[in-house]
Amino acid sequence: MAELTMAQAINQALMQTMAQDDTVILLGEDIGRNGGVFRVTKDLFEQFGEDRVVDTPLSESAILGSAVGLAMNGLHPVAEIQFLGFICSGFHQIITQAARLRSRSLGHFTVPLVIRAPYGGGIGAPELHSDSLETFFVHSPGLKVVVPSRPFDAKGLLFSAIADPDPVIFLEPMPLYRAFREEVPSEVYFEPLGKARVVHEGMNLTVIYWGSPGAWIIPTVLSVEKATGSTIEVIDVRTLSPLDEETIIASVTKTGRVLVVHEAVRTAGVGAEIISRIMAEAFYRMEAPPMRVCGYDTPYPVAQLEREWLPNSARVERTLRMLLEY
Amino acid sequence: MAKDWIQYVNKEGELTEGKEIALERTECLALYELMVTCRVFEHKATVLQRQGFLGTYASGLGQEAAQVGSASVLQKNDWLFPYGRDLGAAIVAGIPIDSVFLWLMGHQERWLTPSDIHVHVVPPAVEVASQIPHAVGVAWSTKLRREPQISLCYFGDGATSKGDFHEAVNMAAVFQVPVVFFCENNQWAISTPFARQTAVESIADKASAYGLPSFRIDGNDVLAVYQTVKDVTEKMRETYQPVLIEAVTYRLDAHTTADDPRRYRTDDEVDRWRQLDPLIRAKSYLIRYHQWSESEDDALINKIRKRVDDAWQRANDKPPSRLASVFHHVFYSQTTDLKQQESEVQQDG
Ligand SMILES: Cc1ncc(C[n+]2csc(CCOP(=O)(O)OP(=O)(O)O)c2C)c(N)n1
Ligand SMILES: [Mg+2]
Repeated sequence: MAELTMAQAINQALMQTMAQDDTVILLGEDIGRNGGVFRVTKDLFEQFGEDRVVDTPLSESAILGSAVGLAMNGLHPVAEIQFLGFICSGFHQIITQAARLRSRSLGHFTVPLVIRAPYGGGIGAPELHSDSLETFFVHSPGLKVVVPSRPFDAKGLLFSAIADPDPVIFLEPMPLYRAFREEVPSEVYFEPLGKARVVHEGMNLTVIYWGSPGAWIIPTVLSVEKATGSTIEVIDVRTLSPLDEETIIASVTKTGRVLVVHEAVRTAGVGAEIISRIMAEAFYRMEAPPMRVCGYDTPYPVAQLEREWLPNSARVERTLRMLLEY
Repeated sequence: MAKDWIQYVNKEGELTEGKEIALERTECLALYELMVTCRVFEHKATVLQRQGFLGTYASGLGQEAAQVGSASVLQKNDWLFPYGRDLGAAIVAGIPIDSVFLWLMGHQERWLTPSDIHVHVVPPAVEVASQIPHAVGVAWSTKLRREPQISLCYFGDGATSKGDFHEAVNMAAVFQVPVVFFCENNQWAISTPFARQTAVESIADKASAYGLPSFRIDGNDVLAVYQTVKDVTEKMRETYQPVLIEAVTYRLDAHTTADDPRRYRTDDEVDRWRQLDPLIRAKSYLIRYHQWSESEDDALINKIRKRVDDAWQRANDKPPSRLASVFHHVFYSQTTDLKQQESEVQQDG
């Protein structure tokens, strides 16, 4: 075991998978000699050479479309999109192609493809570098969508994503790449896709999140617990599609109150899907209306405003108190 | 099959054989002053970024001739489509320097276009190549109204790998709409070298696939850029025929302030291109042919430093952004949802 950052944990997962399985290849912009703009693919070019760590021309559509072809014929490509916002110009290759080839060919052709992308806000980046676009993919049957929020999960989930027989969108919260370190086993291990993690147990309220809020949600919850005497359960969903409904419903059935926190804009965010399922399955257990703290329904704001615009500790704390007092 | 190479002034500042320059001293000086403005701005922005005042910054150092030579040709009501490295071109076209600083600060008043601006300057494209089809649409609309305005659309060598580039150039040629597709080939797209971007020798060669004329010019020679764009646009205002221009230049700085170019390119290469610095060339030309002196040069640089410093002062004096502003420019009339979210924010204070 070593203490790794999330960037290092992802790098190690790629390194180990590629060493074990020579059908795994990486492609993307500036991932080779430069090691990726966040240095997540550092040293892989030197280790595996330019045929397996491929710097492509600047074309998201060709990266994603050719990755579909590579995957259809025996390889396991891991494509990197430099920032999630830039996936839009290759969007059709995911939504109309990668997600549907299995159905279209009745299982004859499959697309074991992983698409990795830095994701989310909070680093003061220019426009289009910070948008949380997960809903588009969750809304597209045939894709799995994974969002780790800690180094241990990132490594174990990436092994599972690469081993998965279907296309997986793997979203890496940028502020978490180097936010903290934790112990990460040095060997290969698989964290299952489609399984949420209960990160903190409680009886009076359930908080559900994914991605960057993982960096600050626990201290916020602890301070509300301390101030109110309540106990609050916290769930990191980790996989947005397929959703771990079982874990979510079990928790809310116990607590009767729920808050969903996500950076994506509120309207039609994945929070709406989660709350809809809770209302269908735990309706009679609810003590308060489900609530959300999300990005506002505006384009992602300029850097000077992102801290206030994003879900943050102050907004979450206020909403937790409202729910507990309800 | 690489295209002929257009150069007017060589790296020593001498007129290239067989070329003539019709520009007077004052016109040459005006171009030089704009190049110095861009250069001083690049330096100031890089320093301010290091001091933590600005976000990630993509310097156009080394590309001043390409940007100034082309943008100064624009006339009233023409359109300019810059991308993120073209802040110099935007300044040339009339965007105030303080507004560009606000953009880089991530301030809510970023890219505030002055109402009396003479050229339509679109906010810089962040998504590579996304601006290229827009230039086609705008040019199409001017043609439909039989107006003489043209669109000048900038993009990098990396952008020519995008579908948006190919689809836009093709459509412009099919519809014959007046766009100058102006590629600043600075040899790199972050860490990706030109040879990894395309298997042709020259971006200009790509034009033959779509049936439009193209030119390959020395992008570090401001007079070659100016003269070529001027000739091409004069004709275009009547014929509407689009053209593709490849300005061969070099990104002297890192890709952005967040990039370390030593990982992928040699100092030797950068040094070779430093010899071709467009400002040194323009200055040598002025000294050789127009009795420009070092003391006049110093005075000019000092005047412009003061102008850029004052612009920074004005930008920095702006009150900080307020979250409520994000709810105001989403739609023409605010939706109920946005109204409610804005009032939530106001209450939270
Ligand atoms: C569609 C898209 N993909 C990726 C990026 C990230 N990115 C920003 S600039 C850049 C390289 C652009 O190269 P080029 O077009 O040559 O322009 P230059 O930066 O050299 O001026 C990349 C990959 C982006 N902004 N947009
Ligand atoms: Mg370039």
